[in-house]
Amino acid sequence: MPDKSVIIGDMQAILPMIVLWVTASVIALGDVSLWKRGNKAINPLLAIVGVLVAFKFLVNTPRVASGATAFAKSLAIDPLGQISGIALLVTAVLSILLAWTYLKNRGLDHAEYYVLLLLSLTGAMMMASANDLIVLFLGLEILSFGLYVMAGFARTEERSEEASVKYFLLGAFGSAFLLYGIALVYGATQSTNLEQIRATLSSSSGAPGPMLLAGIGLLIVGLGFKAAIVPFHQWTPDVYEGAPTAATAYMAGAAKIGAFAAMLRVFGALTPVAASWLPAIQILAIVTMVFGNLLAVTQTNVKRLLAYSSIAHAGYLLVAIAALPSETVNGIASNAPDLAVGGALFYLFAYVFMTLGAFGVLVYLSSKGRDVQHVNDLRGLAKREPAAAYAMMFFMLSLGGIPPTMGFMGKWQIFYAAVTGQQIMLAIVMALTSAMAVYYYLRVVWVMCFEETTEAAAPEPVARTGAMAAIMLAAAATIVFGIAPNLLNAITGMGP
Amino acid sequence: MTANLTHYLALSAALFGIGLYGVLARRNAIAVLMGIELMLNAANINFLAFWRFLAPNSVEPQVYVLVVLTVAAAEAAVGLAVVLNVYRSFGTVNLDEIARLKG
Amino acid sequence: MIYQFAQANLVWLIPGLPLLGFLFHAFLGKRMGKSVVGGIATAVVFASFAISVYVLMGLMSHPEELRRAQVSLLPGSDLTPWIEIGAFKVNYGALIDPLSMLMCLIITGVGGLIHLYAVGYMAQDKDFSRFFTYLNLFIFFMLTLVLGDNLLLMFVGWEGVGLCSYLLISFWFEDTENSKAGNKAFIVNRIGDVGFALGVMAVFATFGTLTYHTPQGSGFLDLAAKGIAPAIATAIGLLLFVGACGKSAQFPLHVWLPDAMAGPTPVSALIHAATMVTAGVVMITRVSPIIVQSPIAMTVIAVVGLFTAVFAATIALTQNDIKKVLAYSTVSQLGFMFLGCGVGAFSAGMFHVTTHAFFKALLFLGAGSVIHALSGEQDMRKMGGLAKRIPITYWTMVIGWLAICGVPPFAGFWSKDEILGLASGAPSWGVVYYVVGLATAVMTAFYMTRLMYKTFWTKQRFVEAGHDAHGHGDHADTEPDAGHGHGHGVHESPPKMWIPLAVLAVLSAIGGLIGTPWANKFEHFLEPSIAKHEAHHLFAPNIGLLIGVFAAAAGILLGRALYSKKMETGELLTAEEKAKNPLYQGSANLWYIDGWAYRTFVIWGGGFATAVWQWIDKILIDGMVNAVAAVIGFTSELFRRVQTGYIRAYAMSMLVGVVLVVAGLLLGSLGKH
Repeated sequence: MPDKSVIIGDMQAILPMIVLWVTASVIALGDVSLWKRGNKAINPLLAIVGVLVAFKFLVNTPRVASGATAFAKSLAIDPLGQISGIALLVTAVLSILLAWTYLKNRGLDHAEYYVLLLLSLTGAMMMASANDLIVLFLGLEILSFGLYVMAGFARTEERSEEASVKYFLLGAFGSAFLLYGIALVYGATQSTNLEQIRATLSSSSGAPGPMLLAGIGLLIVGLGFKAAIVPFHQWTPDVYEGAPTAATAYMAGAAKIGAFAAMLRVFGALTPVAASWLPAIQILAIVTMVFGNLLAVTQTNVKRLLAYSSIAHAGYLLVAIAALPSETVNGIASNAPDLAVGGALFYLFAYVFMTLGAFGVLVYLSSKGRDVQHVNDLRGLAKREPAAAYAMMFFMLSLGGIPPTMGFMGKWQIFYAAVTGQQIMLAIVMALTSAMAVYYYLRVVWVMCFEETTEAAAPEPVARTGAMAAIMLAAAATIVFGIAPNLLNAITGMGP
Repeated sequence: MTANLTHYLALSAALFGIGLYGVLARRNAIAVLMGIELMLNAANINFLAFWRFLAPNSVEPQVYVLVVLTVAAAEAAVGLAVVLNVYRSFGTVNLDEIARLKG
Repeated sequence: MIYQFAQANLVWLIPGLPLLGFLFHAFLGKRMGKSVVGGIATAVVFASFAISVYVLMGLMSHPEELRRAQVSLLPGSDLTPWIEIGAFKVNYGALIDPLSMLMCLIITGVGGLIHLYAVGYMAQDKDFSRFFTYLNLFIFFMLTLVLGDNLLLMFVGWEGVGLCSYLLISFWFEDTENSKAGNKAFIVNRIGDVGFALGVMAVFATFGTLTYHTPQGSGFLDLAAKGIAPAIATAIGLLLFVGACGKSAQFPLHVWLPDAMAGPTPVSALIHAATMVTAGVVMITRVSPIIVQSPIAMTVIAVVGLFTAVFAATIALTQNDIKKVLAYSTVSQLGFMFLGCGVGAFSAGMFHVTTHAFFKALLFLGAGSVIHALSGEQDMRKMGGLAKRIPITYWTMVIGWLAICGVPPFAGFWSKDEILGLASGAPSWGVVYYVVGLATAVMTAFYMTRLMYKTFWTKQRFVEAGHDAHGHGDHADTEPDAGHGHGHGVHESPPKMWIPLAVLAVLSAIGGLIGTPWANKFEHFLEPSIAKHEAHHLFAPNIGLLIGVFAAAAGILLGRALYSKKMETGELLTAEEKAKNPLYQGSANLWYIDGWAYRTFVIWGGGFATAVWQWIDKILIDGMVNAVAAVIGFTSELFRRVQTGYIRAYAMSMLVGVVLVVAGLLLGSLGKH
């Protein structure tokens, strides 16, 4: 693990988060006092401006290749945190564009949505750069509180409320395990600082004690819940289905990025005792890949299908986590950990573009009386809405890992990390399950292109510029970064 | 006999188990929420026990406990709001009746 | 080895032009007239052909040992990295050598002709521009597949052509049958693709690179040529061969190809005969330096190829759909090509790829012309007597028929003979390869003669569409091509359709002369691309040629002997005779039928062929594909039940997960210490 001896200014380190928090406050206060809930367009616009300013500050933060820390080493200012921060901000921009269309068309256009989104984004960013388990817990909770409420944002709809309460109770349950795990790890190492934990673990020679092992197990559970890893995944399809589609999109992106950024850092720090936790991660990865894909096969609701697909993708990302401790292979220093981090980050970007794009198409098609989510709602879309249909086709091909899309490139990078890190078995399972996955993704393409619409009337004309912009952005990214992956690395400063 | 670390850890584990039981056994959403709060407090007891017996000179665990208490309070606030909304929609807070999304 | 040359700067245009064509059609196609769309689509492919010729001339002007160049696939002369992670790097690079240029010529040359033909064939179709959008995209991916200088670019092309094939098979999507065929093609191909992906992974794990050749000699084929462990060569070879089996329709992954005939006929000619299905042969030939180091992989490839050849030829004997006959014939011929690869005769395999591209494209296009003339009829039982009605189609088909039967001096003769000759000299099993291969050649000649009789030479059995309503509307439900023809009387095809036929006929007639055993220019040409491997004939080439002539003659004469007596019906057996055959129907007494000697052959042989098709293809392999799908679906449904919707149940399963994870960690550490 890099030596993060450089310390940068505390305020500078959290400036992007401060900007997001201030923007959220401005929207909340402005909405009740200045534009008095009258001007609906100003909220998403302000939110986007806030995210872009935060982006500016984030990329302006000094880049220290080996990483720096702030707030008494509790925040890491390193490429992992910064790049996953960029991914989070991209998620936010796309989600705000989608929400703009969705909330308006479904009569839910309230400023609070954007406030919640920005605040939970702050939590996700904190989680992504947390260098301390308690900060991680804090970030996770801030992220989650926003998501719980956003899931229930359609207050008149039963399924939205059901999604909200399910997510909340199970999420809080998962956090309780995480916190207990943190406490046990603290007891075993007398620290919650990840660098300190790593140092302690490296220097101790004996076998890890039961307290540490139980603590690590509970960390896996707590983070695995957020990342939707089997068997901690059961909330995912229900919540994805019930939540307003725009919120589902944001949740799918932000929670996944936050959870995996945290996992990369936590399990990186736990490398010295990898022998004890690696088998668990390997088994969870296999189970998650198999069950996520298997259960997606028979789904007829696109949101549920994407939920299981997101579980399957969590499995692929776990493969990268499993390659993380391979610091030496056959006694020779290996770059597998760097490749795993780079591959996982690239994959997260790919995941954001293709998943939010796919949800975006659903948002684009939804109107007040009609929330599009069944696969049959997409029948004949290629004729009715060619632009949306072809974008959806790109997203599905990308999710299925067909070249030359970003999804393929992401899979290849994780593959590469796995082979370098000697996780051959996982790479093989990944190849097999990805092949199975194409079947259900292609069914969506199928329905759009090769089945006739059953609908009599065209949907009422609605304002959908925001959603279209998000779809086109995501589709362009899916293709461009698939063809030129180095471009993304150049933009984000990514790559080992 | 004076209490040592093991006793506190046992207490904490018992509290955690009681919370867990509450989550799994109670149908009332509020009761489940209470169970979760017990589990969080079990973790707090752990932190304090570790502070007292393993790192008495450190202030960190005490700060952690305060952070966790704050988070738990916020969680309760959000949770009650969510449950209130559910009650408005479903007319009940019985979790077994809130199971329309499945498959 | 690696040599830069001036003409290579134009290489990027070879796939670039079809890509431009694709983009043009995708964005503007709907607003343009059909003549503009068809014209541009055809022109870009022919322009690619012209550039390929130009580049090839540049390549050939160098001495043999320098005929290999690694150049950029993007405009500009420097290699541009595509993926660069740590030490791993693959480029947007093209490997220019005889193998890749040969494939470029076939793809753009035959492809251009088929585009031209399709302009005529699809003239009435309402989705004309969508068709050419996919077709140009296909050409782009196919060229990427053969030109790329690394396995990853090949994989891009590999998946891309699969996608285009899927879209084109399902092109007439109003027809559910076609859609199902498209789906099946995709599923079966995925099995192959997993093999390919794992093979790529194995190459990477072994060599740390996926580039074929570099000027520094650090490409994986350069490294492999220095010698690798046979076990590794076997693993890589077999995994890649699984991929080849999927794409090139080898047993048991061949089931998708006959079903793929549901697509428009030009698609069958281009994708499912001349180009995409040969990708597997090209890939195996490309990695020949690895393959030759594994005797096991070589044997597997040869045996699977041979089995597929004889198996598919058997099925082709009794098919009644003209395109299905040609489809099984393609599967069979692909088997021949793999037999060639398996005995180390890679250049003979590629030679057969080339000649097969000529004559099979010709036969498919000819069949398309017949179908076109009959307004969508594909059933040979309802044809006959077409020789005089559509003379140009007829005469070009005759040449294609002679070529595939292996009659000298037509193209198929030379390449098939080359493969069989070299197979005969294989160190083990050589004689078996030869005898079975020869039997397949006889069968091939027979079923193609049967096709000619049923279509052209027997009495007319269809009713003129002009005379009553039959022929168009009646078959709209059952015949895939119905409703896409003109719907009036029997007619010769327009020049756009017969000119490609004529050009392909010329190529099928004389194209084989570049590879005669006395002066094998073809083999010499491919030498720089292919691993050296000792392959020799069991007996003198001239004797082999003579036996080959006899085999072709035997098949043709047998067909003539049987069918010349059945000019009225075109059926060898009446319904009652079939009813007596146990393999056709269940029970029979052969002795009631006069002329028992060859009737026995006909009844048993025909019954056997039908049985093979019914039982192995339709029931066994289709059943396996369906069973896999059913098991996955069933398991999925089963586990969906766990998703009950009850929060407390979810919490319970989380707790179970917690216990398992924590207990696993604790017990795992107990076990270790």
